[in-house]
Amino acid sequence: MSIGVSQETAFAGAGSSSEIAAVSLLRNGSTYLWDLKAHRELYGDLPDLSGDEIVTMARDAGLTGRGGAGFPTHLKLAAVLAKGGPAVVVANGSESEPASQKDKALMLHRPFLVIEGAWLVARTISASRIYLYTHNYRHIHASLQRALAQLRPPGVSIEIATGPDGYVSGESSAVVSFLNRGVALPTFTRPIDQGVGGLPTAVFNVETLAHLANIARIGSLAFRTLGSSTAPGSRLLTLSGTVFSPGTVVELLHPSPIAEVLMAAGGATDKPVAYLIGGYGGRFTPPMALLGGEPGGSLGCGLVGVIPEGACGLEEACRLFDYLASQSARQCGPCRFGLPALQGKLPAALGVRPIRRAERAVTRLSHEIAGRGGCSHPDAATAMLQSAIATFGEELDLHRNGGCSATRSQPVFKA
Amino acid sequence: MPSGTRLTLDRIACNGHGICALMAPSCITLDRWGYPVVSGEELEGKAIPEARRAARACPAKALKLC
Repeated sequence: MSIGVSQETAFAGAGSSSEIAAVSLLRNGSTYLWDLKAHRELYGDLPDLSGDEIVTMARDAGLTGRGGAGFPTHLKLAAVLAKGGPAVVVANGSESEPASQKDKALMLHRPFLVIEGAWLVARTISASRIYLYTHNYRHIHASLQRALAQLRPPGVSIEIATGPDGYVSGESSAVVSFLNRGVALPTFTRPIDQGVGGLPTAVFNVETLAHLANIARIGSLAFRTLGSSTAPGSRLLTLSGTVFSPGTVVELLHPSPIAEVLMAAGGATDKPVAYLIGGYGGRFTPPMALLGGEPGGSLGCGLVGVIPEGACGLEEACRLFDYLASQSARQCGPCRFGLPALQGKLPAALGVRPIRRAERAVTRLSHEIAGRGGCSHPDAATAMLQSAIATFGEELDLHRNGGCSATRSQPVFKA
Repeated sequence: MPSGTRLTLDRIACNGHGICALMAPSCITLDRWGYPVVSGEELEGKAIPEARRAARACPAKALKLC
């Protein structure tokens, strides 16, 4: 599978003036930077920073993980540092969310930023090995290989690793498990405690690493000014659902009016009645004015999907849930048996002949499953479902009376 | 006086044998699929020896006291 040629990156953000564009992550939008000289011309040289300085910089910047969980970067660095001794860095570019494109776009457009970020982490935690982990995308491999041919940071070995497809195969412990034994399934052991080759391992999303390489140049304060006080810095979004160019990647600068952000993808094709935020395991929300003002982790992996008028949000949620249930690693009982059990209740709870009891059963089952998997897969799946029930209350009432607002023949998300 | 002892469950290793709930009824129950529900709170009183027995008996070695 390759990433579409229509792949675009653009800017959004209120007041994306030239001063702001000069310190943002992507700087000038859609240009491919495959040449180290061109990269250095645009971003400048990577300053020589000590490990302590890098941790302090990440802390002052308020940088949080951009893979979905939003964990503070400096805390992860400090946790690996506290283990002492040699460690390993994994740049996680697997991006297993089906509609998300931002990590692929980043590795394609800005491979040097990712490599530089991984090297900064390697310096910080005394790692001599870096893995660039992706799914099997030919263009991305070519991009990373071309970059590595020009940029070989001293003192570390860098290897590109290709993992199998699958929703949970990009989870950090699954990535480590793949690198250790070729099986990309979540494990109970945390990578920080026992990762690749038994060494403490720092697994960072590729966008997080790219930000680190950018912050090293612009400083933590400039990074903070790209966001809000509650969600510092800029972040990459994938615009999806019913927009004119689904899959467009955009850098969100400051909390911005959502309609303005969507213009990067040509705008919404139909009036939005709700949004899917943060991936298939994210949450549905009613239309809101601003995007980005909330705390770090709330945008998840940065997917923003438009649910248009004429689509039934409950049907969409059921379809996403079916997909998530099919993607369980089937290792933990509550996920393996709980998700299909919930799936079985959905038609009665949300379908055209609704029974209130069935709706309660869905809520009860969700509570029984959430928090009881080895990874957060069952939590995400059940939370997405609960958000759909909360967001599409009117639709639920309509279903109770035998109706449904769906007029479209195509699903919004092709899960 | 808190004991500081907690029961941890490796949810991936657990195969749902269910023996633990028989050995430690005061701190482990089974869900509708037969998998243990463990609270993660500090154990007290008779729950401690019960949990220790349950951990020893677990065929999947998924239960640990720490």
